[in-house]
Amino acid sequence: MTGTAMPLPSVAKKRSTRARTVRFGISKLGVTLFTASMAMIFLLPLGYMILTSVKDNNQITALNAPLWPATPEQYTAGDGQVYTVYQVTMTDGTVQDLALEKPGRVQSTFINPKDGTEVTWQGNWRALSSVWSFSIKWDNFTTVLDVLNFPLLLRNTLIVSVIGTIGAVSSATIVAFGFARFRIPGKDGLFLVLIMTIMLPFQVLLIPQYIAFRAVGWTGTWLPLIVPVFFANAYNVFLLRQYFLTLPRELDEAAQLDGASPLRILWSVIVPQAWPAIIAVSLFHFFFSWNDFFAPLIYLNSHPELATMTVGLQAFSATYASSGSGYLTQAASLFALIVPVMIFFVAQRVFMRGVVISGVEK
Amino acid sequence: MRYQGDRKGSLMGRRGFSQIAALASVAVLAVSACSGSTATTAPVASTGPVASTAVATPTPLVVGTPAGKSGQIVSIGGKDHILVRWFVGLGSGTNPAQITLQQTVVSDFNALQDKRTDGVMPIVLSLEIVQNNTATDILKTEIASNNAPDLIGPVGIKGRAGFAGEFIDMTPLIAKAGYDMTKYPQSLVDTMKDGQTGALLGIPYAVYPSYIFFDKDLFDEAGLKYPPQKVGDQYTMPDGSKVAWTWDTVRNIAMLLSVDKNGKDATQAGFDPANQVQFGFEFQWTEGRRMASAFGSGSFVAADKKTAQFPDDWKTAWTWYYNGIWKDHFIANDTERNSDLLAKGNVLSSGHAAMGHMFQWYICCMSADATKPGAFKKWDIAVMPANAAGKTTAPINIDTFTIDKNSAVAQRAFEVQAYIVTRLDLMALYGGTPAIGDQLGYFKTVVDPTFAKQFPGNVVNWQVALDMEGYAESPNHEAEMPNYIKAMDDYGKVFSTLATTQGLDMTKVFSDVTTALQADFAAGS
Amino acid sequence: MVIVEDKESVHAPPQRKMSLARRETLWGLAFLSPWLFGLVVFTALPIVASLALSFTNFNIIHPESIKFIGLDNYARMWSELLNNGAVGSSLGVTARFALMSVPLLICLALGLALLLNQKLLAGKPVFRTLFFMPVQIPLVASTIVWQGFLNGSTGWLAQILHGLGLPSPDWFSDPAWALQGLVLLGIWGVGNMMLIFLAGLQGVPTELYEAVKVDGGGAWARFRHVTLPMISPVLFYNILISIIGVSQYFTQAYVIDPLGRGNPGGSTFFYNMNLYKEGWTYNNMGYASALAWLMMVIVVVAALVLFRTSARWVFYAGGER
Repeated sequence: MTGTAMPLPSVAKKRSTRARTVRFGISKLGVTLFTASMAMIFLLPLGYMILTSVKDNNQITALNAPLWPATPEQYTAGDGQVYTVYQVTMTDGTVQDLALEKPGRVQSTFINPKDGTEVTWQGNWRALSSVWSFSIKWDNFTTVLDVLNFPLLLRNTLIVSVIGTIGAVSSATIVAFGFARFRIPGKDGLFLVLIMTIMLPFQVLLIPQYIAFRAVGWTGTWLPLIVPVFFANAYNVFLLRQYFLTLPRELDEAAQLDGASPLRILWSVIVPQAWPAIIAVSLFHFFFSWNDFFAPLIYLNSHPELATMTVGLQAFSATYASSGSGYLTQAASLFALIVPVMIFFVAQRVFMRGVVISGVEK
Repeated sequence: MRYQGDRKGSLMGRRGFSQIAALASVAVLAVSACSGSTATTAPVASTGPVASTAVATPTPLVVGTPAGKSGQIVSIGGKDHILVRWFVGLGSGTNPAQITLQQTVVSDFNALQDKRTDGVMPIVLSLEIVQNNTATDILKTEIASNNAPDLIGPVGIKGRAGFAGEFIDMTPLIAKAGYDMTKYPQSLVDTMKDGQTGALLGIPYAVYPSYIFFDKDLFDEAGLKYPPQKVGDQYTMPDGSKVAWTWDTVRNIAMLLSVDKNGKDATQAGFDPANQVQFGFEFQWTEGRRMASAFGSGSFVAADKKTAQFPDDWKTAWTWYYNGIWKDHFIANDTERNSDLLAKGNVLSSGHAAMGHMFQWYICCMSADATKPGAFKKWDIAVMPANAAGKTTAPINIDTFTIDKNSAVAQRAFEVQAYIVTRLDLMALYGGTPAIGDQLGYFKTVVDPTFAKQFPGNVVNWQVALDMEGYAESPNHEAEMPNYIKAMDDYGKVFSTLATTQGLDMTKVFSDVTTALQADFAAGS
Repeated sequence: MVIVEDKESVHAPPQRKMSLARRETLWGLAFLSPWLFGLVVFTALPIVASLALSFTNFNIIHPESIKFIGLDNYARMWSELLNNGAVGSSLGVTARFALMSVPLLICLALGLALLLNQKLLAGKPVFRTLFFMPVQIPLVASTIVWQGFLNGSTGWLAQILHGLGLPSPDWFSDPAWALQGLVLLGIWGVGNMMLIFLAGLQGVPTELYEAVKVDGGGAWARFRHVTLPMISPVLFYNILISIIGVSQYFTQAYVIDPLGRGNPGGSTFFYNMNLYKEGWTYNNMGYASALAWLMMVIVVVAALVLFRTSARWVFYAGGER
């Protein structure tokens, strides 16, 4: 491509680079917009949750209420009675803000807040909209904090989850390495036994477990939630084993030839390659422990000073959800969500490597 | 091929460590951020039950004192105490106000015990409160592991049902304490008996009659007269005609009180049930036998205690309910009931239901604040309507305290309940009426003052509640059936379809129920 | 693929091989020992107890009257399976749910992981956090949210559908739609699987993609011949774990019907709900244990089938031995 009609090579290169950058930018915008819209659909229920958590009972059960958190305008009459103000279309076509004093099927009586005069109006008051003004009900969160000792619950939950996560991940890493890299007679059978340990539902295991932990005096402490975790859980071992098996053996073998012990190989060769899976397992255990409900409930029963977040949340929602105030439950759950989301946001950066999928190199 | 492992390995390794470090610092920050504020509230478990009873409980909803073994001797202040455990959660007693008062009752009781001088070892009462939805599971776990509490209550018939054979016959304790059981209405005492053995499981404590709650504003808006507050009083229809207060009358006015968003009521042409915004009647948080019993006492099991039956009054009731939902549109269906508009099931509090049948325990949680759950404005109570035969029946709940059969301190637990029963402030917070004694006086002096404060100018006619107690159903709608819980599940399954499914054949519904129940009864005997 | 080739680079003399094999076994057992210890001390007891209880009439509130009843529990289970009693119908609900939800979730999780691993995507950390967020909400709370969101009259979805002029199902109030409602709810839990796939994708060597590119392969070829085989081990994990998860599906259905009858109309009466009812509501823990072991057998068979076929579709770059 050296025709005289062509621009100078350097310019052409520059242009094509620029064109490529533009093309890359456009595709990037497209992919990002697509993902954003997916996320929006995916998180619609979360939107409902968030908006509900900052509304009050009055708005949630109101007719013609807006989607956003708001308060209807009220008017206090001379006799101390409080009426709701509506936007009323009068017979002359004007719209006035009037307080509904006596609603009726055919005609209703309103009070004009400006001068206190009564106005009789013919029509269906149910079709009228109140005069809503934007107002976020932080009260809901205050109520939550009044009833639940959040700092205590958070502290307890963090202690149980952080210690548990350390134990779960370290033990699972060790055991998974054993399953992934060593020839052991009967290993397949053992592996099946490992997986079988998670196949029975907790509902039938609970009572034997409870009796056993009670016999050793562990009920009423965190020990039943923490100690067993240090002896490798099948979910974690299985996942790490799967991941370790995807790692080629050349490095292990090279290290082995250099005289490294298996422990050394695990620490210096396997673990560094398996960070994404190890972080994933840590996150799983952390959130499992964070959201674990029944075990803390029964082992810490009668020990409010040891209770974890979900136990508190559950008690809270049991009290409020049935009385029609699910919005308080949602406020509480949202509040409880802050710390885990922060932790995830920090932790997920381990998955940053990414692969070259597009035809464009980076 | 050469895997790029080592470069990537070290790179990932460093990043991995920094991740962990960052995570750890977040956790440490969070822990240290809250430990400051908790240092003062976290009680020390090892100081024994009394110490933590005295400590202000940090989480009012998760309550309990470290439960030692019941009957254990605990030394407090150099004096031996005997530990008695009180379990709350199978019935009333789990909302924040009730929890707080129960704690006060416990510390009051413990203080009284400390002062006793009769030489009997004082009791230290330990309170364990478990939220309703998990209470049964927790209690069963404790029982299965031989760690049951001593005193269990308040609890109603249904709450006890899963624990057949678990509670002691209180007759000897009652005789020893010298209680005169003839003072109690026989129908109430009957509900205290174990359906299988006839053992007396408790003394009638809180009575919760049921009646009609109504919203005065919605009646005013429709230009309708309020429902009658005396049995036998007639109702004046909008055209001035006087009619008997029957379920037919309720249907007729409930349809006038059911309105769509265009303002049309359910009797008018062009009424749009898909966009209904107000309902004339609600059986709130109802259940198949409870709603049926409002039409006349009865039972699914015949007198021989093994044949399944469907009483005629109950067939009328279910049909009335079903038609009310799907044909006459004055009762909300399942979807509508669980909508935000109807406060997700707490329909009476939504301001969009004109009348509803409910038990008195509902008053525990009514609020005059519209921004709060359980909101009410102007309301009152009315008598139950009569059935076609002119008979008025009010379903009723009765709570009691029971004692576990393995309790080593049954006698002492009985002492505890004898004290709790005297606390009328707690009774009022449960929403109950004392089973005997001056009931109207109780309403005037204990209930009214709190209600007058909450709902200024809204006077509730409590005489209705007392009258309805006189029209209490017999047998109780929760009365014993063979294979009780399974049977309850089976008719409950069919009953729930009345609110979810349009186009049911009611004859088939009735036969489905009796068939399923017959099988349960056969399996249970 | 090239990776599998140079496996037998270490050639030890036959004599030392024996002792090497023994040493390897010992080392392997040493690595398994934390789990083996935990198995004996913590895990085995409840599992063996549940098996033993399945041959008794163990009643949780009358533990003292426990009696050995042989195979009675299993006989009852068999009859409830044959005449479409509780066992048969709850197995049906569970199987229907599994068929709808497992494939959907796996595809969705994989798709999302691929999307969130894209070079072309800006703000990956934010999106990953957003898609994972619902997993962090306790199940009970998120189920309550979905009940409100899906409500047929005031729920957002119904309002959107009505706005588009479409009818809205009543979801959790309609026996024909409740299970689908739970499938939708399950999508909210896609974050866990997505994360596992993301971790798997980090292990795919970039060189392999370049190799395909050199061969002139497109996006599909890259996915089919590199990504899929390379992440097949974690795909295998996700499939097996989802099957186990469905076999124990409980909490969400329990929130929908707190009495555990599987309402509306028994449409959400899952296998584990029946087990819970038997064990905890009707107190027949012996029978519930038998139910648990029946499901155990079913899942073990599924697992064995998966393991057997895995040789054909799961690719372990490190070799499986």
